[in-house]
Amino acid sequence: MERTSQRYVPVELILVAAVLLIARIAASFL
Amino acid sequence: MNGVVVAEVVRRSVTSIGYGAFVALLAIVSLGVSRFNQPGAAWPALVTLLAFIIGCSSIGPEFSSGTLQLILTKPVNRSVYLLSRVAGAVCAVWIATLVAFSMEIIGRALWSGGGGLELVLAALIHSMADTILICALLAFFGSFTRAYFNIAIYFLLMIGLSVSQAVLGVVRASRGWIGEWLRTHDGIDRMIVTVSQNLFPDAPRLLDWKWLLMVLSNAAIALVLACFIFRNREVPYGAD
Repeated sequence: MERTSQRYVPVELILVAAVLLIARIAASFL
Repeated sequence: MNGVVVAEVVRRSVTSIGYGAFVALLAIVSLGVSRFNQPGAAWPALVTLLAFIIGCSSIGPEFSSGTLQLILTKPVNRSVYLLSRVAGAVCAVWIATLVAFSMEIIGRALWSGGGGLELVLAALIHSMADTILICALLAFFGSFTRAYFNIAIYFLLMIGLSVSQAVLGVVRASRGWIGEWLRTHDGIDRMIVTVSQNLFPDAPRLLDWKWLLMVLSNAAIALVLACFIFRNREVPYGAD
């Protein structure tokens, strides 16, 4: 879906969520 | 994010009389309680209440009032709109949190020589992160429901999880085969506790980075899910 579409979900948001989730999982092993 | 939407949400929240009264109450409570209670004792609970009140107004109620239908006739990205609404609600709650925090700091400086600063700071950071999670969850529940069903689902889940924990505890203590089965299979119990801790976390007293990461990652996941659900939602005019 192109960026200008009203229904486009920003990749940045998904990346932030993924990074936070990975950081959380990594922190649980520390 | 859209600055206009964020600023408008903050303006509408902050300029309401109820908000002013609540912040005044928050200031009085945090100043008064700082005199005799432990650091960060009373105001985080009140801030949570404010987060419920401000956070529940995104998406669901707008759908029912017809505001959303009008907004979506404009070329505004739905995810950007949803995130901006959440950001605006979070900012409005954070302003109140900062007021409560400063009043507690002033109170402690006046009466107890400024002790317990790190605990108050930890309460501030935990409260701010918790606000993000509450607003994100309410936006997520609002992304597929109408009116104030988001806050209804939130409370039903919260009460349901604690009640089921209590019921499981009672059944586990019983002598029958169900009690025996539950004692040997504690996975169900652990699962309910984990879900409860993830959705409705209790803030620790000391600053805990793992807790913060858990809260923020859950909020981010809730927002991503909300964006994906809201993306495909039909918003017909005159839906209600």
